Amino acid sequence: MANADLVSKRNSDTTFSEEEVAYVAPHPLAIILRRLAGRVVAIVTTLLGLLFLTFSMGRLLPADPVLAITGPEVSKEVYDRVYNELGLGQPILVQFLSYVGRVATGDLGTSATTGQPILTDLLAIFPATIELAVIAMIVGALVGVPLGITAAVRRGTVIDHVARIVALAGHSIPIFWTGLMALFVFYAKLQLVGASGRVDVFYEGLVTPVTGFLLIDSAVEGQWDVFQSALGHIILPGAILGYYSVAYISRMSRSFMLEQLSQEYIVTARAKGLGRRKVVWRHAFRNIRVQLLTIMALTFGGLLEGAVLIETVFGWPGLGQYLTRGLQMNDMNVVMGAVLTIGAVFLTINILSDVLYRILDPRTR
Amino acid sequence: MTPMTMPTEQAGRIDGGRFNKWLHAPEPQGWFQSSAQQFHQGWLKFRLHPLGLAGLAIIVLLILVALSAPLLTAYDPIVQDMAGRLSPPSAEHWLGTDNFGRDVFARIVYGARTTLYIIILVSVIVAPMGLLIGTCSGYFGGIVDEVLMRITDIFLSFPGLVLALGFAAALGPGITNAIIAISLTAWPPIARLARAETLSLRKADFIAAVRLQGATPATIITRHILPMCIPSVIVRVTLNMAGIIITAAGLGFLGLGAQPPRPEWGAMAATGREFMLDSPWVIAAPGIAIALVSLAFNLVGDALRDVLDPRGSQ
Amino acid sequence: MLRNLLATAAMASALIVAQPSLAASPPNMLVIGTNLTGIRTLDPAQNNARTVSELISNLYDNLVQLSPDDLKTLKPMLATKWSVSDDGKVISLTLREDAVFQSGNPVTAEDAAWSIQRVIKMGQVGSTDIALWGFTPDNVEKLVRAKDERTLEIELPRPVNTDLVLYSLAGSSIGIVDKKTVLSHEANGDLGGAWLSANSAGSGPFALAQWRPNDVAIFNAQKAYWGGAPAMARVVARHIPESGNLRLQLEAGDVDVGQYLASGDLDALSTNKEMVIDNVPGLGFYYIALNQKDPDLQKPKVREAFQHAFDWKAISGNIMRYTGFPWQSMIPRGMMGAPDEAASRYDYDPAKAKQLLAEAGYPNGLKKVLNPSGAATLPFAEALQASARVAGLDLDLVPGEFTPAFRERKYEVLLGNSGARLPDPFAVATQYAYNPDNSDEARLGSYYLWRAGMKVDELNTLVDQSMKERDSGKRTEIFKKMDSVYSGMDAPLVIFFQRTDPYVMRSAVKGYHAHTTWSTRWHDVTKE
Repeated sequence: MANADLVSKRNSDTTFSEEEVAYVAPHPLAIILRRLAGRVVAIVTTLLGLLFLTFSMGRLLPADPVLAITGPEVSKEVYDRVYNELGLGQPILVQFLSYVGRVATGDLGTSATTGQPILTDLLAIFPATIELAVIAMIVGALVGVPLGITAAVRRGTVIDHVARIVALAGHSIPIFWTGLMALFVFYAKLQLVGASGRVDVFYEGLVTPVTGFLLIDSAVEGQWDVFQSALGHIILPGAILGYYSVAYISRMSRSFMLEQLSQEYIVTARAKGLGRRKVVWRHAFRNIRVQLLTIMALTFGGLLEGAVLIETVFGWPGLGQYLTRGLQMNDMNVVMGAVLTIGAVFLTINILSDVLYRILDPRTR
Repeated sequence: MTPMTMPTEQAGRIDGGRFNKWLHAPEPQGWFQSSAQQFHQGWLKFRLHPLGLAGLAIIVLLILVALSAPLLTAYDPIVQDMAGRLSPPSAEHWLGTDNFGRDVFARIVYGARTTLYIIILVSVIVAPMGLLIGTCSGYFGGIVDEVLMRITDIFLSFPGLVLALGFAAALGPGITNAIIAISLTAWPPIARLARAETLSLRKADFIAAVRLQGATPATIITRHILPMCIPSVIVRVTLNMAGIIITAAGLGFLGLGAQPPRPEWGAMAATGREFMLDSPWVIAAPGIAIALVSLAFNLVGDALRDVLDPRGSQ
Repeated sequence: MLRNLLATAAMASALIVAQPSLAASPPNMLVIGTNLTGIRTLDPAQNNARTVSELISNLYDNLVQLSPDDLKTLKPMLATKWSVSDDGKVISLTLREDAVFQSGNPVTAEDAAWSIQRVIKMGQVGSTDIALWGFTPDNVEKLVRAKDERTLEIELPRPVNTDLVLYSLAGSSIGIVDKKTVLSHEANGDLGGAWLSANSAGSGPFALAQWRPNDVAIFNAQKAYWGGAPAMARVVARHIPESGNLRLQLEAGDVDVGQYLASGDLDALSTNKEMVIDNVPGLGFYYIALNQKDPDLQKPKVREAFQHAFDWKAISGNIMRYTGFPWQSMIPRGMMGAPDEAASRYDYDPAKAKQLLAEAGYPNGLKKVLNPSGAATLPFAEALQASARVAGLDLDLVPGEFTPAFRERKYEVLLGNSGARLPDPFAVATQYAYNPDNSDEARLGSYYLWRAGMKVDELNTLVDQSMKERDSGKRTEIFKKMDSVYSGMDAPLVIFFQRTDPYVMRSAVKGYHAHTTWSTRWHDVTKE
């Protein structure tokens, strides 16, 4: 993304210049290094900007950072001492730089509500959100890709319209509402799935957290009842979160497939008598695999957003719930840390998918 | 965007009347007439999309409901009636009452005003802001472009809801702060879009011509480039509006939007949640309302895209 | 495509439905669904709030205890007997012989003395009650001492009613900790505070097995407990902040005891024969605070107007049914000096409120900002806003957590609720009637009257007297006088409800008695 901008900028420079006359091709390595440097600069500035945004959010929060550490019952002397320790009297730029320095060393502060370092909290709960997002991705891919491709292949038919409706619904119905309705139907009325948390209460602490992913940890240990409980708890929020990516994934699959189907080689293959299914899955699909992969990567970032609300609805102890609870309790460090983490992950995914796209898609070489 | 060509007489049927003649004049005099003609042509195309029309109808309905709220319901959405709380839908209360005894239908209807307020304000802030930043960035290039795009990238590096959450929390609860927060997350795509359009327009002949005539960059941008970007920006804003409504509802759900007692659909869903198991009507109504309006914008946006920007097959 | 979808759906449902029906919680495990938000540490010296008090009182024994249904009579716990010197200055407690900490170390008077000294020295919220008697980090080592291995002496620096002192010893913050173990984990002179936040070193019937903040706390029974091993081998306190979820889990039998349920869910559960709802009275009130630093709210007629601006009756039968009962005196019901009846001192009279406002100089009503102290008082605040509007008070509700702002006097009208641990009107009186220094610099944030910005010398004297007076008959009179002064002065803290805390138990759970002072103990809990 940033790279494309740089390229286009160069191309849009004024066309006539003296340099054109005595043009010496630069060494290819120099080009690559310059591009790389450009990208690194772009990423670093974006990161700094991200940090500045979270920093300003944190400073603006209507919560007293001193009270967050000392607790509300504090005498004037202690208050002043902590105030100075936190450097709150210093100019904003100094505070920001020290914030950046602390973040760079992994010190995200301490949570007022849990009393733990934010980093510890984040490391503990992040796997929960990742696990949820992965399940959602699987659901989204398993449902979205076939849906989109079929919609493209059978364009204009009922399937296409159904796909369109599914996609539209995904863009229109608020995720928290769907989550609540689903909880109402599947938990309250049908008692099919588990309630809040990742696992039933009495399975708490029975599985040693190796990866942090309950499904993997319990399977590895062979504790299948815990596995089932965990599955029962993750399936509903995961499915609903996944559904919201189905909208995007199916639309993108559809348009990629449509693009392929209009290509000459498809027409040729069909003219040669190849069966439609073979044409679609062996040839066209293979060509869009790379694009689909990058779409998935991008969706993952969007799932983080949906996770915030879904986790609140389902009581899922992940990053999203951590953030909303931090908001409710005016826990500044938590809000800053959580927003920063989500932003950093989102940024990383975008960059990685960009890189992935460039590596895997031969056309951009 | 290429200027639309005038269709010849359609199937030999042109209704009489001066207005129609004005609308179909082959050589429009002046900006207003040509805009009106383009609008008319667009409308004719739009008319062919049944889903788009349905969406438009819903939006019109939203506006009407918001404007005529007192006429539609005799109940005050704020007055509490603890004796009649949580009563199911009935002839008296079409959608039942909530946990404070307030008529849910009335709160939906007055909540439409809040929704409309959000939609209008966000559009009014985001469109000009995005347009301005995007066109300047695209036109001037160089360091201006770098800086502006870097800022845009920074804002884009957060998922929309998270950024809005962060700002809304930082600014404090309240509808105005929520609107500011949402606007801060909604302008980057518009800016990027405007920039892309500007980049392709920069090299156009007519721009060079105007520049040779001595027009300042400000004039070029505002009078020539900006208007050309407007149609795609309109499409994008309409399409994104669905997401904006949902983000606003999400903020309301988390308690960061309109504050009590002001009715707001997201906040209604949040309070209704506590009583969901026994009084599902409290939460069903706002959820459906949000979905309907969001859907409407999606449909209209889709149709608009086909009408104004047929190239885009996304 | 369709086949893919169907296959996936079938597989998923098969996996889920095939779950073993282990829904009910096991018979020797107690599962408590509660709200663990904001519990940063399990160190007794750093806590005194409701939920964490319950957790702590099962990890740590106190010297004395109060049984849930008799808040006046002190009962032995780690101390088998105690006596007060004739001049009332020294309390001697004799410790039992058979109490051991979970580490195996015996409980000695030195541990008891050190635990109390520790609370004072750390100066955290846990010291709120006990510091009232005049202990300071400088004098506590001398005044609280182990005379020998089995005898603890507490010398009081000022004249205080010794019952009050003993009540404070029953509070969860004064749980006795294992001095040797805690000191071995000390870091940077913190008296073991960092280590104790996630570990336990007590002599109680349970020990901490696992602690994940805002998530879960797991306790394992201590078989060597001097009072006998508890019937429950394991207790799990799970963070279930969503009331609807908690209710469903209670109904399903996943959870045995539910706390912090919302009124709607309590209503639904009240009709369920498998549920028992215990509405435990609390030592606190729901009140409206009117900041006296605001010139409009200073006027006595305006304060009086607020007394008639709230239709509390309308909500007492529904929203407040489980969280409070109408009570408009500052002396909690049933305590010494409490009036027999205080449920109708203020009634909802919007016309009168309007008239009072007009007389005070606000013929067109008054506009103020209303804040709830936190999420618990938000519905209350919404109800107040609506009824006050009719009375001419336009209250702009700004929700959030405003207790810190309250402490700083940065509010206009605030709706709060309080709680206390000492089962004596003195505790509440200190909160609501005492303010020795009304200046801003004094920062006496723990006194609500300071937060409201008013100082009443007569009340200060009465509160002081109630603390020192040893004769309970005289104390009763003091509290009665306090009540009449308070209600006659258009107090800036307008009390409407006395607090109750609802606990829901499945009927199979026996022996779970929630405590008014929040020291709910699980030792005697059994399940049928």
